[in-house]
Order: sequence, then structure tokens, then C-alpha cells
Amino acid sequence: MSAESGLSPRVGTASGAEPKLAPRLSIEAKGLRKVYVDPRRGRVEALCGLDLDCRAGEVYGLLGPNGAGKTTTLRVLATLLAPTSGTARVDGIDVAADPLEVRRRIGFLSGTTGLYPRLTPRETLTYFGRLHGIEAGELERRIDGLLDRFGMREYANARCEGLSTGQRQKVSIARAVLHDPPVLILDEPTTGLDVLASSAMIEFIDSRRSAGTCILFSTHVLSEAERLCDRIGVIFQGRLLAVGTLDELQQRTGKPWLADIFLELVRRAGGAADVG
Amino acid sequence: MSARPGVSAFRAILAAELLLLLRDRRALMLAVVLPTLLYPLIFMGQRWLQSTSRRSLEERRVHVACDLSALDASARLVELLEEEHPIDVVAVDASGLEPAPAAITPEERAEVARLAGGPSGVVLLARARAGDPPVALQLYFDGTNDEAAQARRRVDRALDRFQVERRAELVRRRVGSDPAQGLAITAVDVASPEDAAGSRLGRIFPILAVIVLLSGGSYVALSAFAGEREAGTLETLLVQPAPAGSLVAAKFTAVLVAGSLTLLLNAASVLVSLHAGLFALPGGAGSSSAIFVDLGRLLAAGFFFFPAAVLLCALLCLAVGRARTFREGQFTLLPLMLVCLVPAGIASQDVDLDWLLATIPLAGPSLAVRDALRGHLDLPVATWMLVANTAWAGLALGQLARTLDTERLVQNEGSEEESSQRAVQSRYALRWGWVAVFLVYLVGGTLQAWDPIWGVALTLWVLLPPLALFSARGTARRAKDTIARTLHLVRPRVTHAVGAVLLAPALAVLAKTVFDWQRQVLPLPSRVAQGDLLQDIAELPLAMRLFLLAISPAICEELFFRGAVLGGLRRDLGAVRCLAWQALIFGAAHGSIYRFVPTAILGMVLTAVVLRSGSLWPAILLHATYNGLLIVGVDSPWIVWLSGVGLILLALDRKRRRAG
Repeated sequence: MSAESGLSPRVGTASGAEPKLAPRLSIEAKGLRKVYVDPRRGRVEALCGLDLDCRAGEVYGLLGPNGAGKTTTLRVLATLLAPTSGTARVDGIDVAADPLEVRRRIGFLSGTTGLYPRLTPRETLTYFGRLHGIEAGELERRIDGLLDRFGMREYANARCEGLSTGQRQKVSIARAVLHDPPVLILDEPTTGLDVLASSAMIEFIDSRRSAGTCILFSTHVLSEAERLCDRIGVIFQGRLLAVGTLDELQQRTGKPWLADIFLELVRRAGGAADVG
Repeated sequence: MSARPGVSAFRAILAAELLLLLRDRRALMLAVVLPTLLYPLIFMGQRWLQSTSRRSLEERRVHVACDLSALDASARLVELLEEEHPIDVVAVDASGLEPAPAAITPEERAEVARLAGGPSGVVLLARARAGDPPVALQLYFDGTNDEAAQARRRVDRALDRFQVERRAELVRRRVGSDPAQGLAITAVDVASPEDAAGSRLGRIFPILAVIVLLSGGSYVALSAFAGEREAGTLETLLVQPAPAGSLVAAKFTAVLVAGSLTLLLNAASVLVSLHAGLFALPGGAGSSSAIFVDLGRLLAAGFFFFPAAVLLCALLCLAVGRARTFREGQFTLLPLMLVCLVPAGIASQDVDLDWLLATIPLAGPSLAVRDALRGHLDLPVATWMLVANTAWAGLALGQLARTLDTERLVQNEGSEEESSQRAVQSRYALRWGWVAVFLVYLVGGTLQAWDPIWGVALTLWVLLPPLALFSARGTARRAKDTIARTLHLVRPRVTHAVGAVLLAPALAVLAKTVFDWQRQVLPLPSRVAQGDLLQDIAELPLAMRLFLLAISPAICEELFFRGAVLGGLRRDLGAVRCLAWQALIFGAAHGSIYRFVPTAILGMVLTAVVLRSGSLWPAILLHATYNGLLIVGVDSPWIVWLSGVGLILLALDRKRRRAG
């Protein structure tokens, strides 16, 4: 089931000047299916033919309840899982054909991502920088830049096990953007964070968008989606029910609040409210 | 970007793993510091304990009551006794004691205690007898008392000296000089001290090495795989542009480094203790003086053990890598260690390293290490051992790379309880399997001891079929299927049936070969070789023999093992695990370690036939033909080629009856 696309590929101007090409597709998924065998439930279809597209400088929010398929989608795009069928391209590269190259161009952050407790932030960043193949001198420069930018100087040499949640989160974010990826994939990045840390994360996403990064993130906190997203995709039981800007979704369902929009879409799709 | 991202990723990950290990103080303490300090302390403590206890016994005063009136030269004996000081020698009248009583009465005991002055004393009585020799000596003592045992030892010593003196005196009086003196043997051990020490060390070193290597490497393996999965850092690592192969290789190398380092430190600690004379190796006749095994041999031993070390670490990673949590990973360690100790323990037996044994993983290196330490290494065989075991290690590493692919590493769902909740059918079937093994051993054994022929018949026809039916009923009900289909009692394809029968000759020849080979490593006692069971049955007419030993087992055993048990196993487990469990249970059910391997192989082949054809009948036919051939004897070699045809028939015809 394909979703409506928000932006048209060509935008013409009134004066007849050259049509401005919209930014190219950073993430493109067509007909993504993911089936796996769960010992208790048998064959589970986590994704049933999902289409997704996301452009540079755009923030795309994937909204849905638990078990809808958000994490699976993001993992497939991050090359952690292979799709059963369908294609996905990140920055023009097929995730199935060349996963290593894809990983060089994405920064992945998940709520369950951990840090090595016995390494310091500086060592952590050095480690992951080396894995990305960044040269030693350049790596030093970037790490220093990030430490300054996120205000991590004072605890840069303290072991991660002694840091607070907010401090750890900053380290994780720094790790995700160390190699300056054009695409950011964030899986429920504000889970378990307090107000200060959450807003720091939101601020960070905003800044990245201005820098031209394509950001795809999943959440079930609707207020975040309202604030940040250029476009929102509503996912439920492995399918995208609708895609569009907040205005478009409001018009489509006739509901002002995102929560009601979501419930209406689910109702229309014939799904029961007792998910998960 | 470096030209070889895989290599630089490998180095980066390995460096990080080792850094994490060095910073884990608890791991370092447990795996490294503690054992290194422990050995010297344990050995010293042991020695001190032994010497103190020995000393205290030697210093205790013992009480010996003697009645030596019937013995001439008794005064000399008393003198010798008194030399075993501190001792009290008292003359008493013990003539009231019974000579060589069949059973000691309480009155006797009391009398002995009275004469000896307590339960810790002993009574030495010289009794006159009729005939030659004219005097018999008897010693009465309480075996449960330490001091009485000590007293007895001293009396024995004194008596030995007395006898030697008396004999020499007698011989001198009668013959002049003792003719036997020229024939006295002085044993001269030509083995050099290094060889002797190395030999003793070589017997226990492989076992110790396996234990230490697995313990030392396990901590790293657990934290590198299961621990990281639990902490969520594994997922982060997998999103980096590092090939999964580099990841697995780096973690494996870290495990190998940690394990080897632990092994080296422990070995050094043991050797230093040896050198300082803190303990003596078992099995030696020498004193516990300082022993130093020379460095060259130790290096050679390490060299030959290396492929085994690689294999062990790979197995460790395989076992732990699939665990989802730290705890789940820990459960796999003990079974792994036990399984690995079995082949490694071969070095403590009197087995020579030959070409066949050199091929067996862990066993070959163990024997080579023992021989290297002993100084008698057969170089060509040892080289072959290196080649073969490097191949095994390579296989394990390849399997490691394949099993730990990204997707499986990422699948985080479920906990241990969930994973054991699945596989209900297979566990049910296995339970019935073990019940049958137990019953066959107990009930069947009793029946066969009572009457060989009826025992076999009853075990097969009365014991197994009901077990098969009950077990199949449970499986069928749970799977909502019929009992017949659970038992695979469906009509087979003709090609499969014929193919299975044709496999029998090759199997029979294989069985004979396995038996012959097995006799080398596991010598048969002559009783089993005769086949005392078959002795009675051999007198039956051929038709009866075939019925009893070929047809009956074929039908009844197949019905239970490949019907009911396999029917349950198949629903949860893959082919490999089904084969493994069938081999184990079928082999165990025959109750004899000598027949275990051939029976296990037969079990696997029959299982494969059922899985392939989807029906029980080919297996029954094969089993009957195989047993029949073993009874009748396979003499013409060309008949084995028929089996090739059989194999082709089974392999090519992929269609099979749906067994449900």
C-alpha cells in the first residue's frame, strides 16, 4: 500500500525561470517487506510493503504505536536487518548490495544504544572514528570540535559509567555525527530522557536539518512530531497509513490534534485500537 | 579511508576489546592474579599439612603388648621393637586369645583391649603350631584407631628387620653365603631427570590446559558477545562500517589472547612451584625434590598445543555467541568444558600417538604435548597432527563467522524462559527416549540375565511397542495429527525403500571396521568379545536367529526410536540436532560402551533415511538387512558397491511422502 507523497518532484516558478529541482532523495524505500519467524507466534510480517522517501534537509517522523514496525523499518534502513523483499536505497546506495557503504553515510542512534562503561567519551569517539576510517589528525580535530560544541570538555576523560543520562546521551549523539553523515536515523531518541535532555535532542535535530542532513526518526511522542517534522508518516501493523505535512494530515482526517489524526487513520484502515 | 578497511577495523576492535579487558579489574583478578598466587599457596599449605600430620603421628607414643614365649630369639625382637621409639613394649600373657578366629566376638575384643592397655594399643602373639614353620605370629589391633595403625606400622618395620636378620643367619649357618645375594636386583632408571619430569607433567598438562584456557577465555567471550548484546553496545558496533567478519575475528582474537595469557601465567606459576620443590608431580617414584622441565620442551609443547587452543577458543565463542544474556552464556560453559576434557584426557592413558589419533581434535594435540614433554616425539605424526588440527580449527572459525551474522546478533527478542518454552515436542520425545533407555537397561537387562532368548524377545516386543504408542499419542495430540503419521507409518516410495535396503552392506562393513579400530583404543574384555549373549542364541536355527536378532529389533526399535521419538524431535529441531540426539539415545539404549559408537552411527543413518523418505518402512528394512548381514556375514566385497546404488537412489529421489 503506497503512501501519498507530499512534495512533487518539480516546482515551477511563476516567472518561468528554470524549475528548481527539489533536493534529491536521501532515503528511498519501495515495497519493503520483512518477515521473520517468531517461535511463539509463528510467521510474523513486521513490514508489509512499505514505501518511504525522505529528502536532504528534511525531518521525517515515523509515528506509530509499539509493534507497528518503526524499529524494523529503521533497522532495515540502517542495514542491521535484510529486507525479505523490496528495495531500499540510502544516499543512492542499495542497502542489500553494499551495506558497508551505506553505514558510512548514516548516523544511527537508538534508545537502547549503550556506551562502553569502561571507556571515556574521548576514547569512545576515537574508537568509532577509527572504525569509520577517519585519519588520526583529522579525528583529533573533529573530536575536539564535538567536545566543544556539546560542552563535554569537563568529563571527556571520565569513564562513561560515571556519567549522567544526559551526558551519556551527548556522547551518543557525538558518536553518531562524528563522521558527518548526510543521513541520520534515530530510533526513539528521546526515550527515557527528561525535559532538559529531550529539548537538547530536539535542538540538535533542528540544527542538523539546517545543515542539510536528512533526518528520519521514529517516536510515539506526538508532541515532538508536531514540533519537529516536515513530514509525518503514520505507521500501523507494518503499513504506512498516511504521509504528509501536519496540515495535510489535518485536512485529510479533519482532526486538529495528532492523536486524533492517528486514531482516525487507524479506524479508517479497519484496525482495532487494541494493538501490541 | 585506508585501503584495507577490514584489517584496520579488526585492529581497532581488537585494541578496544583488550583495553576493556585490562580495565575490568574483577576479570583480571579472577582470571589472572588469583590463580597465579593460588598455586604456590595451595601447594605450600598442602605440604605443611602433610608434614605436620606425619610428624605428629611419628611422635606419638604407641603401646605394644607382646606374648613371645613361643618364639626363640624373642629378646632380639623386643630389642628391635624398642628401637621404634617412642614405644612401650610390655610382656603379657595372651594365651587366652583364639588363634585365627573366623569372627571376633565382643569378649575377644574386650580381652585384646585389656591386654593392650586400651583401644590404641596392639597385641603381638607368638603361637606354637604343629608342623613347619613351628611358630606363627599374630597381631591384634583396632583398624579404626590412628595410633593403633601407627603401632602396627612400627611393629611391621621391626618384624621386617627381624626376619631379614634371621634369614641371613639361617642361610649362613646352612649354606655358607647367601646364594640369592648375587641375584639381587638393583633398578637403574636410564631415563634422564628431564624425561622423567616431562613424562609426569605431560600426563596432566593437557587437562589442566583445557580447563585454564576455557576459564581464562570465558570471561572475555561472555562480555564480548552476550555481555555486549545485553548492554546494547553490540548494535552500535554493527552499524559501523566494519565488516562483520572483522568484528567476529577481532573478538575471537581477544578471547584467544586472554585465554593464552591466563594459560601461560598459570603454567608459569605451576612450574615455579615445581622448581621451588613446593610439590611433587603425581605418578613419580622420585622424591619431591626440585624438578625443572627444560624450556625447549615447554616451547615445543606450547607449539603443538596451539591449534587446540585456537579450536577451544572458537568453540567457546560459538557456545557463548548465541547467548542473549550473560547468564545464559554462563550455562553453556560447564557442558563445553566437560565435552572438551574427554578427548584431552587421553594423554593420561597409556595410548601411543598414531596417525589416526593425531587426526582427532584435542586428542591429537594432547598426545603430542605429552610426547614433546617426555622427549619422545614422533615428528612425522606430529606434523600431520598439526595439519589436521589446524584444519579443524579453521572449520570452527569458519562456522563462527557464518553463525554470528549481523541479523542473528541483532535479534534480541525473548529471554531464556521463552527459548525453553518452545521445543515442547522435542523435549517430550526426549523424555520418553531417556525413559526407554532406563527401562531397557534395567528391565531388559534383568530379563536377559534370566533367559537370553526370551529376554531379548520380551524386551523388544513387550517393552518397546507400548512406549512407542504412548509417546506417539502425546506427540500426535499436541500436533493435532494421527498416531500413524507421527510414527511415520506411511507408504514409502519404492526407490527410497530399495535404496535403504541397499545401504546395508556398506553399513555392515563400516560397523566391522569401526569395531576393529575401536578395539585399539578401547580393548574389549574377552567376555564381551565372545558375546556371551549370542552364545546361547547361536545354537538356534538360522530362521529363528534372524527373527530374534534382525527382524524383531528392526520393527520394535524403529517403531520407538525413529517413529515415536523422531516424530517428536522433528517438529522442533533441525536435521542436525535430530541426528545428534538419535545417535546419543540409540547408542545409550544398547547399554554397552563397546557398542556405543557403531550403534550411534547406525542410529544416525536410520534417522537420515526416515527424514529423507518421510516413512518408517525403509528404515525398518535397512535395519533388518543390516542386522541380518551381521549375523550371516558379509564376505564378498562387491556387495558393498550395491550401497553406492542405494545412496544414489536415496539422494536423487527428492520427493517423499508428506509425513505431516
